[in-house]
Amino acid sequence: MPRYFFHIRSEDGHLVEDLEGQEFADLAQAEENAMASAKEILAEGLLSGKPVLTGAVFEICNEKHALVLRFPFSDAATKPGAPP
Amino acid sequence: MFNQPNTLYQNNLLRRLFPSDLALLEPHMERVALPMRTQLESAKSVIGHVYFLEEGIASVVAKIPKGRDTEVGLIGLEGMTGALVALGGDRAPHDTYMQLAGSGLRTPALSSALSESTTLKALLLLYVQTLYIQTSYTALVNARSKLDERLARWLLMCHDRARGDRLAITHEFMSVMLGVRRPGVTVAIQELEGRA
Repeated sequence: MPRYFFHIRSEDGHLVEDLEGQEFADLAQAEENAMASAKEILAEGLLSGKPVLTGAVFEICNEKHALVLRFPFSDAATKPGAPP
Repeated sequence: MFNQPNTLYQNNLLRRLFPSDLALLEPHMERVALPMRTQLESAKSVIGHVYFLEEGIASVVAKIPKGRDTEVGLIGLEGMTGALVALGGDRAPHDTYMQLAGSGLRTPALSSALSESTTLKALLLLYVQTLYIQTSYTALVNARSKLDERLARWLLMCHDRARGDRLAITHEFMSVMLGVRRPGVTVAIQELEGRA
């Protein structure tokens, strides 16, 4: 299975690199994980009383470090999708 | 109450056994390497061996059907697997496996040794008390603490049981242990590092 890297670009442009990556059957599965993960991170932030990362974006890269998908966390706040 | 610790073992329970209790166990003990993911107990199965860890960390992991796994117990050189054997049981409620490679000693014959020695039983029941307390606090933090706090507690519990200050544990593994998706762990670690 291909490995995808879920880098997180914050609203101010700072990048948190995912050095480990995670295997998924295909990009659709990786996107589903992005949706569920972003929902979880936003929920965790809300419950902690912190500002939530609605401006953050997953920059998902493949094994060749090519960007294959941008997934804005705001999508997880406004659209239905896989639950955490 | 207990003997001066011996220096034959790294495991804290074995170190504190009376010589007579060690003599009961030693003929049945074998030293084993315990690579990552070695299964020590399987849910609903008879507990074949009790493991006294000398190095590395084992996790007791509970499962919800069709759900994801969550760690409910952590065992290192302070303790042993098979707490239920010390309580008179013989089946494991959960899976237990190595999450940080190590080594230890195992015995298939703890229950017979327990029936022969009240001092052995007293020491192991003290350990079971500590495990009970650990588990009750795990229940508390799982219900009341946010991910960054649970992650911090878990890292400290691993650090208590590791040699040195380096923990070779992937974010993926932490995500299983804490019952969250992996990117959530990445964000929580960032927050902890930013706070330091």
